Amino acid sequence: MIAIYGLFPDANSARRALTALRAACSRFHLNPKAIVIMSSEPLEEEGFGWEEERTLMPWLAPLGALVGAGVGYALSAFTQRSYPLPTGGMPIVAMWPTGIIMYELMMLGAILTTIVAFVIATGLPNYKKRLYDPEVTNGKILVGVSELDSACRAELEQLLYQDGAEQVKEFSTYRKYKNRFQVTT
Amino acid sequence: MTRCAEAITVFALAIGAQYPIIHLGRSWLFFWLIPYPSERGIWPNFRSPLVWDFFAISTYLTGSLTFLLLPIIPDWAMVRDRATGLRKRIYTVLALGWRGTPREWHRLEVAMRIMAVTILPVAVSVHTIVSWDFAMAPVPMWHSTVFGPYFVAGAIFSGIAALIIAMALVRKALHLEEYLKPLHFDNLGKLLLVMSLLWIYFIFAERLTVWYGNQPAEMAAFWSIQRGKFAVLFWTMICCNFLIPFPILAIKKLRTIAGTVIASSTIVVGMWLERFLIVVPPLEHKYLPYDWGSYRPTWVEITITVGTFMGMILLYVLFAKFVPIISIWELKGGQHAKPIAEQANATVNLAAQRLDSTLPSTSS
Amino acid sequence: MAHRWGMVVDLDRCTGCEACVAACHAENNIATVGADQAARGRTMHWIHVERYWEGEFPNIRARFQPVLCQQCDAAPCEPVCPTYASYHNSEGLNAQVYNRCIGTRYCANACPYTVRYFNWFNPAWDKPLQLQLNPDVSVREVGVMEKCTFCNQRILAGEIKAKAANRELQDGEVKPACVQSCPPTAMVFGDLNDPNSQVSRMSRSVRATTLLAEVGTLPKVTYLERESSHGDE
Repeated sequence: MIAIYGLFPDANSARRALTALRAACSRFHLNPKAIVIMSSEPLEEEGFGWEEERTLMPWLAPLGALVGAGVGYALSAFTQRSYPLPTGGMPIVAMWPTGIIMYELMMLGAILTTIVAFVIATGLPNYKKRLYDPEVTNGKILVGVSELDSACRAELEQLLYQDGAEQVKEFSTYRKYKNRFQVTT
Repeated sequence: MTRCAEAITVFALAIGAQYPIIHLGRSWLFFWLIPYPSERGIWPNFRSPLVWDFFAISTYLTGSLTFLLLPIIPDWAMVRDRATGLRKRIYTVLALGWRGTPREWHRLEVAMRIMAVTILPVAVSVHTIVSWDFAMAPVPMWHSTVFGPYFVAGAIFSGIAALIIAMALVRKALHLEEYLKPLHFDNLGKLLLVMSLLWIYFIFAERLTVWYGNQPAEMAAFWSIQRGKFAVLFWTMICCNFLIPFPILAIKKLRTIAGTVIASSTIVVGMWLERFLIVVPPLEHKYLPYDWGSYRPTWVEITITVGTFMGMILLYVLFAKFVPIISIWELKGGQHAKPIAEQANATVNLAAQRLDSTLPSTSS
Repeated sequence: MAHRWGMVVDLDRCTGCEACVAACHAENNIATVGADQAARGRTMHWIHVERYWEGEFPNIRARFQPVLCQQCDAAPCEPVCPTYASYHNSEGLNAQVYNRCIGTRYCANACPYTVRYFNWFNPAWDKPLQLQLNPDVSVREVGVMEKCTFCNQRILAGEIKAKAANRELQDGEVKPACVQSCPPTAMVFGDLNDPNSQVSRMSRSVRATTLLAEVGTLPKVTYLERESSHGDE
């Protein structure tokens, strides 16, 4: 198995290559999930699968908020009852102050859930050596496949060049101790 | 611009959050405010506004940090790819292994959208709760329902002013003239104008209510501010926060970069005076005239205040040095410009600056 | 029945001699801070005599008003404390637990009577004054708040003594230092839950008033107004 990718100068050529790659999945015995795209800015235009991206994050955040509010109530109510000390003629568990604690922990719940969801959904941080090319930083769009039968290499390389790739490179995961993001051609 | 502002928030908040601790009699026991199952068997008193403060500040600091750091990840990845040597190693760690796949971008944008919705109510609550620290105490002129919204408005007001100054400095020092355009200052200037009007409205509402109510205890503090020994500070504040900035910001010709910076500078001074006038005169004029005192800062207090001002500047300079102060990837994607609402939103948050206007210690 | 301690101060009797202030300092190991700090308002007189002038010269007269912690039932100082250092104990006293106090000084701001004091320094006594320290009262370290306790140590001693003798505590048996030392007996201390105690009877007087009643703190110290102040003498 090898990983191979092309670097494209603009979104149009990258999109063409991507479409061609997807169409050629069966020919190369390719798992569609092995197709990778990388860019230095979000590719929100059509054709890059942006609209297919789905995440539960917008639902998890309110859920986290609910849990947070519950924790807020439990924290203030149980702790104050566990050691009841009257102050200022107020009830031990007073409604308005408890509301404030619930509110703050509700928001904290939403924030923390979002952070955790983001970390899980993106798999970050991940310092393993993975398919990547620093050229992406220079505005190139990377389109490639992470798992390819080496027999198909030449054909795929040709496909990428055909659609306008400036360079096609192979990525090896075995050169562990060399510069982590160094890429071999 | 968002990042310039969010950095002010985070640093101002981090410094502002130290003030209650500096202020403590036994600072080394500050952690007794934190709810944890301690060997003392006692938990914090959730009826205390200071505990609300602890929760509000922790939430806001968490939220602001997330709001600041999440969109920096792609920029750090960019720095990682271009740096060499030790820097490369440091930024490799900071970039968390970001690659820029559609999945990463998408989750980042979703997370940022959630954060933008979340951070605003938290910002409102944190400034409100700071005001409630005052308003919950039956001190003349403090015990007022207007304090919540008044502090929120003041926070946004001084926050925008600080942002304009920071942006102008960053623009000059880092040669970002191409990115921070006069239009940005013009728009922020308009926002500042609105906030200046809102501020004078709140001041008017607060003072009119007290004056008309004519309660002896409140009037003592009221007149000491307006006519007594604080009169100079009071009228300077009115000039700094309204009389000077209003014409500058209202007249289109004057609403230039230089103009907005001048207006912002007077506002930052004015808002510090406002803080001072909220804290000191009422404490000097509590109910029983026998207890009236006179506050003058000690050299310790002055040093702490100056130190935190300088600390704020130092942190900001370091931040601008090590972190791309303008979001590179968002600029690149300039063709699909960020909705204005989102920017305004972020600007508003930044207002934590207000916490930076320090609460002078009082000797009562 | 639980006690509910209260006090009555007869302003007609107070001469402003400040014996109560001296007695309080001696009884409760209250440190003095010196002239410089006093000028900054950092004195710690758990009870102080406020002096106000009435009228214009030559028809002028001094009015004295001893002010100590009013032991409010709805004390603003209690709920604002984040660590429960300030709380309401079972005998209605507004207690201050020094060991819980972290010195936020919020209670001092919240107190309308300005009778809560902050220890800006560790307490110190010039020799040989340390020999007169009261062993029944702890000294407070720097950074904590302190205030009038109604001489809680005397209340406890009285209750223990009564219990040992298997009898009820008598009215007037316990006297805080200020009450004990007041030459014109302007102050009376006792149990407000006992309707027949002297303090209960006096607090029902037509002259009875509380300090800053409009703040709504429900103080347990009652002041008897000066009759002579109602009209010309």
